[in-house]
Amino acid sequence: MQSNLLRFNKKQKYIVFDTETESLALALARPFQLSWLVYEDHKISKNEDHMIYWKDLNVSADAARITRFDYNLWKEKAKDPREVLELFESYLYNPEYLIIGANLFGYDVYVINTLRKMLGLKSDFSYLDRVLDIQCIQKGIYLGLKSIPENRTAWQYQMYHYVKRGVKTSVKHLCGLYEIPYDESMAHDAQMDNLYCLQIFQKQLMVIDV
Amino acid sequence: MILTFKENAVIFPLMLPIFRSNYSLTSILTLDEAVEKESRLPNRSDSIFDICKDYNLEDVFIVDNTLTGLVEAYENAKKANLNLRFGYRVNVCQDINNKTPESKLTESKFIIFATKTSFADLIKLHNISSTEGIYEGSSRLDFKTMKEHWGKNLSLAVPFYDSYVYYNLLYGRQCVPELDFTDPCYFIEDNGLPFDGLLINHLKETIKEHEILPSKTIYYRDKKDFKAYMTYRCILNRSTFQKPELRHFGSQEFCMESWKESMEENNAK
Repeated sequence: MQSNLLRFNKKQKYIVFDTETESLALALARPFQLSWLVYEDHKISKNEDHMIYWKDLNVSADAARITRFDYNLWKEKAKDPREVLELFESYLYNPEYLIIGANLFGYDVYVINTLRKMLGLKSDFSYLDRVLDIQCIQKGIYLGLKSIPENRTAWQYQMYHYVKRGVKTSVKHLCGLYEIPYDESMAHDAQMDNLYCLQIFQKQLMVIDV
Repeated sequence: MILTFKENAVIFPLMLPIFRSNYSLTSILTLDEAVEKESRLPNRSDSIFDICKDYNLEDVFIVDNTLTGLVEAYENAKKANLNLRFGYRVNVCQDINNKTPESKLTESKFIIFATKTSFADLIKLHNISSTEGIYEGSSRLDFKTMKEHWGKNLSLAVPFYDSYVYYNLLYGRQCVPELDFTDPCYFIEDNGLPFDGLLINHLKETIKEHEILPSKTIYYRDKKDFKAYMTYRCILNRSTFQKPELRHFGSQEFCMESWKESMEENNAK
């Protein structure tokens, strides 16, 4: 038994995060919602959900429809972006935490970078080697891998770029695959997606060595 | 330094700006004749030669996916009193006669530079790539053909993005370069993309230090021009500004403004 595997490491801490943005333009889209949950000691210890205030927020019609964006709710709850980012980054850059999510390499890492840039900060992807993307892991599982190779980040990029007809890795599909109850009416709700991601990841750990 | 030419040794700045022109369909910079700052029309497209003059550059490195702009570049570089270093960015595969989808997995980009005065060898390779080498609309060469037609007037560079190193590391491909006919230089760039660091570290671990050349690909002049650039890319991609569907299109640093910032930062160090 390999005790260093994550499935046996009960002390490992995780954050699972998701963002919702005004559009899908990677270099420009500002997040209006940033949610993350903290998982430690076998339980969710924190469930953070923050709306982010921008004076001139311009949510595209598509983004508003898909994320069920509620302008009044956002306006009521929205906080200063710097305050939200600082809190989030206290986990993101903490080496004790592994960072879990869906499509992080293709999307959310860019969103966090855009948020940093908007606040006058420099790009800092030093957390990348702690990122575990459930969609990349799932592609590895589909390919029959028993364990994730050593150069984890490069490998995940390879999996991110691996495209084959019929290979499905959406959160909804993976919930079905791992028999996790999925509420269609809550699709693309950042908080719910984090819960789904965490459950999917826990199931994946039983299938592939990480 | 690898990328030098015997007749006209080039002294590089700390970071080499490598311009892409609109002929590549990935840039909004033109090869128009340089015009004095005061005489430029407002809202005119930025010319590579204007930028070079504004930044007091003596050499201009232009790398395109085609040689369509070569004559224009040559003439306008001459008029602007700039040393033109023209490179052809082309896909190189294992065998140009293998025209199957599998052969695409062996493709990666290389840049073939010509000397200032002689473009004959470059044109020859370009012609092969866009006639017998063409596959699905994409010009290709293979290592055997390059070796056969290689001459002292050519110099080879491995770009930072889309190279065999890039594809092998980040796409899991198995591109095998056969470079026994020349010593290429390897460009490294840092444009604030998430995988830049990964690629830089990999290159520094595997390539000799003197073969590595810091560079920056320039597609637009300033950061404020990014929206215009993105609009152009979206039009070509038949996508929208809200949903560009351009993979890893997440940096506004492919510009001279960013090059200047990096140079100043380096100087401060």
